[in-house]
Amino acid sequence: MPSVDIAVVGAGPAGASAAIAAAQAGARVALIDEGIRLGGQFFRQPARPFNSQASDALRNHFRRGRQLLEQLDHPKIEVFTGATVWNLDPKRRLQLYGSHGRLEVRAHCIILATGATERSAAFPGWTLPGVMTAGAAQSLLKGHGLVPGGRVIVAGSGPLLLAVARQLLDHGAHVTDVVEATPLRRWVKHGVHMRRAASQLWEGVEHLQRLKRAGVGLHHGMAATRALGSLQVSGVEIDRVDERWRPEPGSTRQLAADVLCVSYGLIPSTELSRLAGCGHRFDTSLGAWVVGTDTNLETSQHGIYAAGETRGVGGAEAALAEGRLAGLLAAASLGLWGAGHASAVAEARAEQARLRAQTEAVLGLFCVQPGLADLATDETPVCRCEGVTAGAIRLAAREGARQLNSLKAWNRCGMGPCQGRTCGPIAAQIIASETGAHLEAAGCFTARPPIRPVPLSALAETATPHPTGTAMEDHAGYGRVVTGRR
Amino acid sequence: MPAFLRANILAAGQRFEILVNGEPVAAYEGESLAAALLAAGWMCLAAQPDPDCPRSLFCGMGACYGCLVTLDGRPNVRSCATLAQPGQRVELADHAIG
Repeated sequence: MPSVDIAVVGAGPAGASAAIAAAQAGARVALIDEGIRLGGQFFRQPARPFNSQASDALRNHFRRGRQLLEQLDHPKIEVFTGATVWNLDPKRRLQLYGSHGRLEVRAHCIILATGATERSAAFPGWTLPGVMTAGAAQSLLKGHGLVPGGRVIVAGSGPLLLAVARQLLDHGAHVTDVVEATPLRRWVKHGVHMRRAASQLWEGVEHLQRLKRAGVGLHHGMAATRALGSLQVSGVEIDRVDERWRPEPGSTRQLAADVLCVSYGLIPSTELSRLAGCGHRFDTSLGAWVVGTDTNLETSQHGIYAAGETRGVGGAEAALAEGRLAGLLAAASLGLWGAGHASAVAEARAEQARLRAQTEAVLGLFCVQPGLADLATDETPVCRCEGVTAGAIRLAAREGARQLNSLKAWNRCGMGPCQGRTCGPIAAQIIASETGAHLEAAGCFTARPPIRPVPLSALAETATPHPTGTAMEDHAGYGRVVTGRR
Repeated sequence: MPAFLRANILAAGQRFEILVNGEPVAAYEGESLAAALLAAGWMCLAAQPDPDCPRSLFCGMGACYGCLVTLDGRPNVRSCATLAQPGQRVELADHAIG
């Protein structure tokens, strides 16, 4: 059982830079990621290096990621890839399972840099093969050099839509339409805040120009409301939506498509911090829970730090600075600091704050809206794993299931292999819409070990068969810790 | 038209074969199982929760468990988070026909 000074979970921008900063300060570090390769989603490394056919932007991005990841080749860093953390207790013991079997890691400090997943909407046909998140299409391109063979529509809301459409287009994909739910008039209203984010704004304008030149249809204030097809996608229906993303009847248009990429922003991954009993807060603009920390990035659990998107979506640049800051502060808490520590901390802190403010200015434009829940008809599956429909969730909500956790008792929503990661945020919106209560009141699914499916043999061999933190009997008290309510 | 195409933007890599429902399928060094399957024209990879619910890669990052396949007899393996390797035998759900 390895014992280290600092264990970092997640090897994206935040986790990688945290591990590097901590190791350079003298800490022995374990860096753990469940991906095949390091880098997370943003710095996802390709199966083989890019050649000259890849766009300059993609090759520069790859080089930047590689420069970061090369610094992980450090005598004080041990890297575990393909390793899923399925349990974390408040005593900072991590249970890993992966291609190399089962392992327990103990650490004096833990830095959670678990990133985010993508928010989708549930609409008729969204489970069809060919409908995927925009990030999935991007991962196939960045990680494997694959582009869709047929016509592509990118739909949802947020800065990722234009970036992904542009990237696919640059590498030969036939992108026909981009469908952005946030209406143009909101851009006008929000314009003043965008001054803080001039570089992102310029990047977006450049993507737009490239897409327009290529004849891509750009639809603002519209949403994909249905994916058509029986075995896979053959078309998409789009509808005009109002400012709250509620579809307007009678505005349907039909478009042909073979792949539909969907993205309505990001949702911080908080399973591990919830499992460890860290306090969380509801971020209204994200419409999601984020792990709470003090100004030194330490969560409410002693010795457990958090950095990057799990604290609230701030973008990869902020995550790099924040990871560095977390690494420096965690190392300092163990008495490890060298010359220049104070100035390095001050610099990382200032950079992290400035970059987070920039991203917040952009994301304020694309705040998740309640109308997203209305895209699901009663027949639409919301919980993809268990096949629980929006109608079943609405019925349960009317019968008294006002929280995600009680929903499980009604219809098994969120109890399949993905454990509610995909359906939870959508089901919460449907409950809120049905009961008229605030989204926050729906809470979030309780995280229990194992937070990812592992073979029974992995559990049977575990030295601590009764993990603390989220035992069934602690459920009520645990819920209070998570939501901060009594 | 295949679901996904290799865009020739990666350095050449070793080509090898995996068996998918008994049929040989080409894969290249460093690819995930899902990437090799999609590039070979398989769009439906799984069926969930019932045999008549075709599913495929959805999140592409190991979070959604939508692309589960049976690998060398081991069920429920995330094809997007598993490296393709020579000689692997992959079984797709009945519904997942190319």
